[in-house]
Amino acid sequence: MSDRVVVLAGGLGSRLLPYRTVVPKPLLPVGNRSVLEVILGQLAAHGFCDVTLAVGGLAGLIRALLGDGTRDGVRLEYVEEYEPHGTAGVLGALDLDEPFLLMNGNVLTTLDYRALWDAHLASSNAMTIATHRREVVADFGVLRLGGDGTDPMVLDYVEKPSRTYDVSMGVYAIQPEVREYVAPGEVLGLPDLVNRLLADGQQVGSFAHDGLWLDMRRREDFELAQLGAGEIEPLLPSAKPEDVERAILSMPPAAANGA
Amino acid sequence: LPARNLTPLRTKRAVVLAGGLGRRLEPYTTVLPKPLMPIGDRPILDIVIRQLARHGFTHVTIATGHLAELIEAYFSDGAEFGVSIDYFRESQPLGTVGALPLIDGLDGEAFLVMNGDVLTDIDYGALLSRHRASGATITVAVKRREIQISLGVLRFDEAEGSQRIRGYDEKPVVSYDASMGIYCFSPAAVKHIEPGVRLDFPELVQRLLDAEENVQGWQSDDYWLDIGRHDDYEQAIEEFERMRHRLIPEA
Repeated sequence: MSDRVVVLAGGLGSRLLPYRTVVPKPLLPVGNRSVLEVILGQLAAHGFCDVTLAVGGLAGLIRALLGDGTRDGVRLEYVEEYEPHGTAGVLGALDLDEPFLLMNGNVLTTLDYRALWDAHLASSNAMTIATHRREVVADFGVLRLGGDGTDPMVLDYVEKPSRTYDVSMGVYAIQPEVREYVAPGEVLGLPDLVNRLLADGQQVGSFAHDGLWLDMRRREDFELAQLGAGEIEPLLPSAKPEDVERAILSMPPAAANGA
Repeated sequence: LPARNLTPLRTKRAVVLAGGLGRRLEPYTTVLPKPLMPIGDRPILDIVIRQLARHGFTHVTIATGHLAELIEAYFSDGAEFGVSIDYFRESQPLGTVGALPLIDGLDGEAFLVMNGDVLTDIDYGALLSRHRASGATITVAVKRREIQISLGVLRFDEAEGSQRIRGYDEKPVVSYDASMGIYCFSPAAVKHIEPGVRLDFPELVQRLLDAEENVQGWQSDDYWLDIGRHDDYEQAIEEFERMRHRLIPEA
């Protein structure tokens, strides 16, 4: 057993119509591979070889493509969600008693998963969230107003101001106890789980990543990934042949034969 | 009677800024100036000119640049729209307000200045009357707009450099006081603009504030879309027929 990663590969990409009507979100392409294959190769390259895929609708397509994970250098297990339980709800269905990584199956990033993992284990965090800075531009001329409501004075005027936000990358290192905050079968999003942990006095930390991060569910990110696929691909570590070999050798014989 | 009541009715004059390149709406705007972009059965500027006429404006000067001849051909002398129209053609781009000191007759009374690509049902006449009564150098029409940040946004501990998280807001909504691109100018405002030198509105506002002039906001709840923005343009096309009775009841 190596360190486990749970990859959320359910859900429908309604923001990417019409692509998602025929392609499950995590199988959206970047260059000549799906995002999910890129992620699995990266995880293997960082030594994360045990991956649980939480799959929803169109699970058959994902299984048909990825099989037992051998080709991508990982050992794959599948958990099927017949009804969507939200990004955190799936934790209620998993039997994990060691720390684990949880991540969206739609992120294209150069994040060092191992460094996130080590930082989490060295901390006393119940959860460590990988974060990225994003600048959002308001496409307006914006005024700062002062004085009373009916005749406000203009204090300044800024054309298309931008604000910087620290955003969640959708990659989390999590202590097993966190699962106690999710009831079995409960529908729960990750933001609600985080706020639930904080309300209970649990420590939640962050791990900043300033390299590439694209969330393929967002249309502009998806389009950016297509434009830059040729440049992006070499940046992404993928499974090395020895990782693949190691994964195959450690599998039960039946699985290695693709049964 | 006091002498001032013997003077003729104060005229309402507007300068419409229609010279921009409309970069955000390319490629359409390579062949069509932005104010001629269609909404329903007519260009946006057609709607604006009819509205100005209905609100009692008698003289409109259209400042043109990019594809000026198309705008002049469409609106001509304004007779068809019930308002007298003339043109100021920029030979070089002067920014949003750089053309004003070169336009004749703006040294008498306060006047309206507006972008030629806003779809709104604001009462332009009331805005100008309010400005004249307030004594402000410039009045800026302001509309509250909300933007949804479609990301999971994290809040951190107050402590400098802290990596501890205090909260997680999924797709938060941020609101802004947005300039509607509609302003009233007193003649004093024009004195702060050098003739023939490029100047944009935000810099003029800063210049006036530095000179301790009175710049006011006029908060509006009116319908407002900025056709220069892709999202707003699509929304305008979608909503025009439903909004028509509020925008141009006469046409």
